[in-house]
Amino acid sequence: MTIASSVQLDMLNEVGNIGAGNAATSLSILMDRKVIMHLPWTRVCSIEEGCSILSRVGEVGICVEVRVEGNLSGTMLLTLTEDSAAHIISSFGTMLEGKTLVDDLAQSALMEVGNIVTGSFITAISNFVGETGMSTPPILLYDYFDAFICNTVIARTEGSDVVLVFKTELEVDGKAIFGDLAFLPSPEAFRAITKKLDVAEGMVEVNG
Amino acid sequence: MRLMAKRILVVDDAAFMRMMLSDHLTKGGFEVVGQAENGLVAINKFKELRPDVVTMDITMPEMDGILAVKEIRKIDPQARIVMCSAMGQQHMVMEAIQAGARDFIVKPFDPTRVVQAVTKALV
Repeated sequence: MTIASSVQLDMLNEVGNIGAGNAATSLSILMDRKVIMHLPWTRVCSIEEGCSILSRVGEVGICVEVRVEGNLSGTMLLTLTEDSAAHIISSFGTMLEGKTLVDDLAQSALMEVGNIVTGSFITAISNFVGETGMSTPPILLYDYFDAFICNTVIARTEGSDVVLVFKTELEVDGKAIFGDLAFLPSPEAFRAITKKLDVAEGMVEVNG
Repeated sequence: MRLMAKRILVVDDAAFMRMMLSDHLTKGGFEVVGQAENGLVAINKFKELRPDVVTMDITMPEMDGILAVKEIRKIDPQARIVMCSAMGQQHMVMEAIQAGARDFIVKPFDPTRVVQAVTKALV
């Protein structure tokens, strides 16, 4: 099961763009910094391909994992390279002064960043599909990318061989943040998304 | 004569959000008398501290904020509670308001709005 048409991918990318816009606005308020977020592309792929896109072999990083419940159930992942996560921590200013990635408070701040980014995308997808998705408290993993990506992606797919990868370009105070965003939908959630995309594509064809 | 600062209990599972919210409230002239990381702890701290206002997160492990509002209102039907919600939680906010919460603030917190909501809850 996959989304083949480029029109559908464009629509999904547009939904993601709405999420990215909302995420950037919320992050700006949270950090009191200028935050920009672009979404150059969106891909719907198999677990194997998803793992290879998201893994940064040999690199250590952060992964914020958020379980989503409701009709749009699944798992959202936000990954960040170590340097990028450290830059986010330093962007909080005096509040996290001297804190490093191993400190509880710094990890709590990164989980909040993950909450905001994944929540913005889930809200955008929910609004598009017309189904609800409710986020649960996040989990933070600090490890090698290939370790957490493959373990998490494989453990959380719940029988569907689908990963939605949103290629995100995030900028905090002019510095590029490296990382990715992915949604691992349950089979039911993916069916709901494809159904809506089919209907929307039909409307594009009729009107086009 | 200087008035006693109103006493606030801050409830959120994220340590960082508790710190940020406490910072906004302290700068706004309130006294943060306690913090809780889930609904169960919040109920116990409420009994122990009897704060003037509780700020209550919605999504938390152990016991969520909506259930905690219902339990706290059983202990004190006059308890003043302000919900802290994330985007996309409108229906949960409505449930909390029906359960007796006075107002809500949306994450990420705007310091002015935090002080305004807590002040309004005290009226």
